[in-house]
Amino acid sequence: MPDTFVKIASVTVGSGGASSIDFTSIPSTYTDLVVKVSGRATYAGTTGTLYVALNGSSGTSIALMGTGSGVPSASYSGIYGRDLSAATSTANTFGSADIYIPNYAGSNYKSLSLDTTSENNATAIYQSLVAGLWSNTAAVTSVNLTTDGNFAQYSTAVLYGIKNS
Amino acid sequence: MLNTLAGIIASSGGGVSTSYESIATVTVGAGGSSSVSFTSIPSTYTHLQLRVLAQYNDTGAGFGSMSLQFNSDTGNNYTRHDLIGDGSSASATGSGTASNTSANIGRFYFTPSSSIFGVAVVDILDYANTNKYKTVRALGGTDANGSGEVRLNSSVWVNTAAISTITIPASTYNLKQYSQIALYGLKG
Amino acid sequence: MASTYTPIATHTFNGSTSDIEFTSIPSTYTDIVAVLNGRGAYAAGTVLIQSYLNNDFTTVYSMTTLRGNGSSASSARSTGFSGLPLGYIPGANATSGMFGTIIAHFQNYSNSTTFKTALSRGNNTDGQTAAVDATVGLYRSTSAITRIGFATYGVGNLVSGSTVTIYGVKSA
Repeated sequence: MPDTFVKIASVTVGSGGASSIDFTSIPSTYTDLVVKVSGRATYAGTTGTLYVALNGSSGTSIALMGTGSGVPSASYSGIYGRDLSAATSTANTFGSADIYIPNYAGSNYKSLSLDTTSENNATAIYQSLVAGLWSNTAAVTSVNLTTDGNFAQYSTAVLYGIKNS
Repeated sequence: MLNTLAGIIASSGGGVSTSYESIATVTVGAGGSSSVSFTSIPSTYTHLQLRVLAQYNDTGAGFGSMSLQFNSDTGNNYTRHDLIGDGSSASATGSGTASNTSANIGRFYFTPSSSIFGVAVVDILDYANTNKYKTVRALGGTDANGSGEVRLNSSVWVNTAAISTITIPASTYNLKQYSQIALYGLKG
Repeated sequence: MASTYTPIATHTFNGSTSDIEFTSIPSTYTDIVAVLNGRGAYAAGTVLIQSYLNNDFTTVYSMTTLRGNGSSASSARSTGFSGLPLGYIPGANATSGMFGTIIAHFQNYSNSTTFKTALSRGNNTDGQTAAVDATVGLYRSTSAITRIGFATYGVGNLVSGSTVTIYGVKSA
């Protein structure tokens, strides 16, 4: 029985932070990719956007958001997870994100599904359901994550591969 | 008539390497249960996931909140944030720790007699990381054939301790027989 | 260690059909997770994907959904459906090459005591009729699910290269 849901790689951000988290040389032997992010941005605000690029290039997305009081929906010229926690949110608090990329090595455009939340000891945060699109038929060989400012120390990301047979 | 795929290619088997493992499962028996607990959760995984099927028992019919407490912490140490679709409109709510003694993971149907159970998938990333407060993210809902809601819930437990116990505390209602909460660990 | 997350079956569409059904689903798992990545051939911006359980086409399905279209949020409810709506994927009028993704969880599918509830996420970024949604659906039958079908709602095939895979998740 082949490995079905398997960790491919993980990153933990060290002291000093990191400008990006990059998974490169992703093998084409899985069917879908899952990235789980526990992250905090160094941006001087309560939330920071999680930006997702594939093979170094961005895509587009639409998001449905909850802000703790309102429910905006927006379109973006990038793949945006709205949001992670950031520098002025409650200390030690990290946002949580799941990114699902089916058929990442196939020859069609790549569709992404993201569920994200920042958190804060306050009413206002950002939660989001996001549909992303990478308009490229190439196989995904790298997943590139950035945020507003840098990723703070202790941010983590784990890349999993899921195999359909 | 749908086109049929002949053959099923896999069955559960042994000897595989996987990052996604089952830790424990609680199935509510006859008579129901006021609370559910997972104890002695090993710290050897990176992330936890709960997969929930539940219904509450009550004389009327409606929806009741399900929540989690960690490491027996019953204090005002949890935030709550909800993104809600109730079948007619979308809305969002939020509150800080002063208002909450548990993390909200959704609302489930309560009824004296029904086969309608709600569901949730709950993710707790870096649950054993002692540099972080613990963020809970839950997607779930109940459709009751003319009522119901779907939600994205999130909370943070303002404690850096590794999570070793997860409790669904007693509430106004009891969990009904056949409710099931399964705990999984993901290696990272 | 026995596998917790196992592929049960997968299908790749060749463009000549609008649906596929997985049959003889073993009862040995706890949940089924379905992942559909596809595009509809119907001349519209989006195509709704529905699921049919146990070959049941009677009006025993209902759903509640939460949706964002890139400019506003909404929620809706439907009852008396003859299939379980899971979400939208791009149709023929969407930007060329665009595919959408639906992830659906059929929790405790093999018990014979509860109605069956499914939780799905739909993702379609087509500029004209984009939608990201979360849907909870109800199949009012206590029968164990042994058959799951996926189909476009109404008209049109799924284009060649569209895929759907079902996985079994097994609890301890």
